[in-house]
Parts: sequence; structure tokens; C-alpha cells
Amino acid sequence: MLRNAICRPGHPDTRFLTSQLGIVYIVCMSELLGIFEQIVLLAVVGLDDGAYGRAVLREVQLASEQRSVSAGAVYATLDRLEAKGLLSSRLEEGTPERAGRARRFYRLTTDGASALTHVRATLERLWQGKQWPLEVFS
Amino acid sequence: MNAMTPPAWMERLLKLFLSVRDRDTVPGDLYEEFRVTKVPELGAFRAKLWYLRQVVSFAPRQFGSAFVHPRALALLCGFTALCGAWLGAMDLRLHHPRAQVAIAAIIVSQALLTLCALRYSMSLLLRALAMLGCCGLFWLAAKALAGLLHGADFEGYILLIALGLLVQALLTLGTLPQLGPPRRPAS
Repeated sequence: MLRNAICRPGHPDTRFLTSQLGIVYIVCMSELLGIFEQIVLLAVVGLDDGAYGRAVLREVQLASEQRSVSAGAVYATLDRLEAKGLLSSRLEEGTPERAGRARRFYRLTTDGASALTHVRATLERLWQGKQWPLEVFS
Repeated sequence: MNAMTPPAWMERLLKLFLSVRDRDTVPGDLYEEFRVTKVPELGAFRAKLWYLRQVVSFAPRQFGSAFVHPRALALLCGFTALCGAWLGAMDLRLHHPRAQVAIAAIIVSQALLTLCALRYSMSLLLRALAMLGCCGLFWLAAKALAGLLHGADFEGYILLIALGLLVQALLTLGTLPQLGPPRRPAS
């Protein structure tokens, strides 16, 4: 799985990560999902057919215990993930409560599922053998 | 307007911050939550404050994207490069101090560097150097504008070049971080 996250040396956005075996992997950080992107994708997965903007925002706020997560940030992330092909969306007709305005529902795409799986596999590999909670030497 | 609907000016402001594709759905989401949840929960006045806070949360996205224009940046770099070359040629011809020739050279170099960073967007180094060079552009533009304010003569071409450098620096800082290697399709 980790092989999928490895890219060629010389890539401008490479970072060196060391596994528990001491092997140095060159990972394209730009191709891994950001933490907030992962949270939004997982919120969409959790909401199943009910994943529209405000519902995703509420789910993200609940899951991250951060009431300060802004609507703008979540909608921008949803748009970006859709532009990357990790989410797809469909419009549904508006209701009187919405003054007849359409509602946009999001779904995880195959690429989105694949990206989440890669991130999880990468993190699991890196966490293997690590003590929890982490020891901090000061 | 009544207590159960958000103020029209806030909705208009919100639409200004949204892309065309979101101008129906996002206000719809907020409208529904305003009517169904917020007004009964908070009362009309606080619900409107809540709505305004939601509207403001969309603003950074709009201002951020306002400075992402690779094509405009390339054109502006071409313009400032020509201006820098012309200034340098005039400085040499009129035997101005070397420092002024150096300033013209800096303007041309920064424009060419930014064009290279746009062309070879894979290079993190070029992008970093071009962004670092913006400090110099801000300094040059500020110096030129201060000179115009305090100087005895008004020189229109200096104002034009200073504004060009200022906008070039803003566009560089807005555009270059958005460029990167093309995404590899997920397998």
C-alpha cells in the first residue's frame, strides 16, 4: 500500500519519512490528503446519502470537537475535493424551507476511497511498533 | 424582510463571495438553517448575527482567489521586464548613478525569475526565490511611491511602474503557492 504513496526522487515536494525498520521512504506529501481533507471525506462517508454542506459541517464540528470550524472552510474543502475527483456531487430540488433553492449532496468517489485507504495504510505502517502514548524527551 | 428571513443585503453579500455554481445551494443551506433552527433557538436578532458570521466565513476564500491569476501575472511580468529594460537603457544613456541601473536590473531579473517559476512550476526553488523577491518589489514600489509623494515633480511613468511592481508582488504571492506538480491520478 505504501508503495502507492511513494514517488520518484527529485520530486519538488518530497519529504523523507523513516519507517520503524529504518528504511527511508520518499513520499510525495502533496499527494497525501491533508488532515482537514481527511476529516471532511470521512464525514461525507459517515453521512452516506445525507451529505450536504451544512450536514458535513455539523459532522466535522462534532467529530473534531471544534465548534470554531467555519462554514467557509468546509464548503471550500468540499469544492476542492470535488475538483480533485475525490468527491462527486448531485443537485436535488429545493423545498419550501429553503425557499425552493437546490441542495447539493456529495458522495465519495472510487478515487476518494482509494486516497483515504492510502493515507490510512501509510499511517498504520508508520505507527507500527511505536509506543502509545508517545514518549517525549525534553 | 421579516424576522424569519435573513436580511437581503447579507444574502447579496454572501453571493458576492460565492462561485456561480454555489450561488443557489449555499444560500439555500443557510436559509434553511436560519429559519428552521437558528431563529427558534436564538431569536431573530442573534440569528441574524449568526447569519452574518457565516457570510463572513466565506470571505477569505474570495480574497484568496482574487490574487490567483497566472496569465495576468505573466503579462504583468512582461510589462515590468520591458519597463525595467527601458529604465536601465535610459539610466545608461544619461549616465545616471550605478544604483539606478542596479534597480532596473533587479526589476528585469525579478520579472524573468517569476516567468521561469510560472513556466517550470515543478521547481520549488524557483517558486521560493520568486516569492522571496517580492520583498524587494514591495520595497522598490514603496520607495518609488514615497518619492512621488515627497518629490517636487510628478512623474507618471514612475507611478505606473510602482503600481505594476506592487500588483506583480501581490499576484506572485497569491499565484505561485497555488502552482504545483500535476496530480497523479489515483490508482
